[in-house]
Amino acid sequence: MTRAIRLFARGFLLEACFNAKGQQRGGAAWALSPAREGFGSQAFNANPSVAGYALGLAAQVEGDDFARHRSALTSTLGSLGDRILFTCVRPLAVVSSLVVAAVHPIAAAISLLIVYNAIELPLRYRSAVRGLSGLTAVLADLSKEGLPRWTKPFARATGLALGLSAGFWIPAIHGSVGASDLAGALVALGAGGLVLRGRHDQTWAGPIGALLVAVMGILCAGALRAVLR
Amino acid sequence: MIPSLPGLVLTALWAGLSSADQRALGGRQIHQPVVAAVIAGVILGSPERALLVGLWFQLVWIAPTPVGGRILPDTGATAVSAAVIAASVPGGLGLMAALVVGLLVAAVSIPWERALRKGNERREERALASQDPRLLRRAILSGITGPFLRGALCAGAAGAIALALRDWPAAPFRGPGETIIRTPILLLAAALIAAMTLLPRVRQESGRSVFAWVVCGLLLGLGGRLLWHQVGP
Repeated sequence: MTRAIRLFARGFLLEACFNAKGQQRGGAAWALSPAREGFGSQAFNANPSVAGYALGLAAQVEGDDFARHRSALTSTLGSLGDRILFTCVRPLAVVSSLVVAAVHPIAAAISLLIVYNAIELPLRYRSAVRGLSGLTAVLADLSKEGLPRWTKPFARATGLALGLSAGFWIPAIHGSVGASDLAGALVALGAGGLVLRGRHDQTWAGPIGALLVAVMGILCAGALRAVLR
Repeated sequence: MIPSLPGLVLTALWAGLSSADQRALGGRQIHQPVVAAVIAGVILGSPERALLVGLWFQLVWIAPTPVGGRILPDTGATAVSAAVIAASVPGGLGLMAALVVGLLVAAVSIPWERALRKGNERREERALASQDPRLLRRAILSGITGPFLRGALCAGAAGAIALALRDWPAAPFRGPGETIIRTPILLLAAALIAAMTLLPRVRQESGRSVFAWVVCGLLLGLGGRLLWHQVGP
């Protein structure tokens, strides 16, 4: 258990000296030291929350399971971790905090931290424990009946939270905007949706797109007001 | 509200911690715009205005994924810098300036992160080649200090901008500019981006049934809103 706690704790600095060439290599060597001084010169990259599976295997004194399965392990951990954490758990924490924001801003911040860490920290610790237990335990967790079966429930929870936020906050607009502002906003949102479709995932598409839609909405609302007068 | 010097110093330290959290400290999510902005707002005495700008940045960057070596903007420094402006500069000017400053910080943070990673590469190679644990420890510490300083400096610069803007007229905007601030259209537009980003991803993981869950959530949310009207503050 001490080894697992140590690997879990040191794993938080996995990406401290992340770089394009070695990626998480330095952090991995730190997490494993001094047990495996010769971690190797190859780059290492896995989702940090589940990297414990690979690091635990690498920490084994006997056997070379990690060396033999390194590339398959890291790519599986990367994609699985991204699917669970980045696609589902993190958005779930963010979206659920939007509802809590009605109570108080601080409640929203605390809710986001609690929802995310309540899921991620046990997963991170489990990955260290199972990695240290050996290849059989790791493969059991990465099989279809293991971690991957959690992506669907988390995705559904995220969808539920998204609907909950929208249902809670959209009625709040009533009374704070005029009819022409609302109509202008709807026109702009529709046009913006068509323009941004397929581009929304690019880093700057979000803020630039949001500002453009806002400006379009203002202009549409102004035009509607002028026409209706 | 004019920020005090101790408040600005504390906010800069918070910004440094948020920045470091995004990559170097394991990602406890204090770099998420809502969290980073609200805590900065609490320090500066205006959590509601800080939440507004934090919410905007959170929605436009609701689920950024660092795939393919893509460097993401420093959302912690962005949100705290925006919160400093929003909390310190009153009225519509403060909110608009907060968004502009936040976007500038985000833009600057990407090449800054690229440079930090180059430094990480040099120190890591030296440490691993020498097999000296002290050099490795130093490389790790430098890897944490770099983003920390970035966040602190950006928040400090935002504080300087806030002090410069505080004497400007509180409401120079008229017409469309005033409307931008009065209507929630900025947040609505950001929410559109958030929905467009999230829905395809959760659909990919969950199949079309996710829309049934969204609709259930919508109905629950409407019910919750009605309840809130009855019992809420």
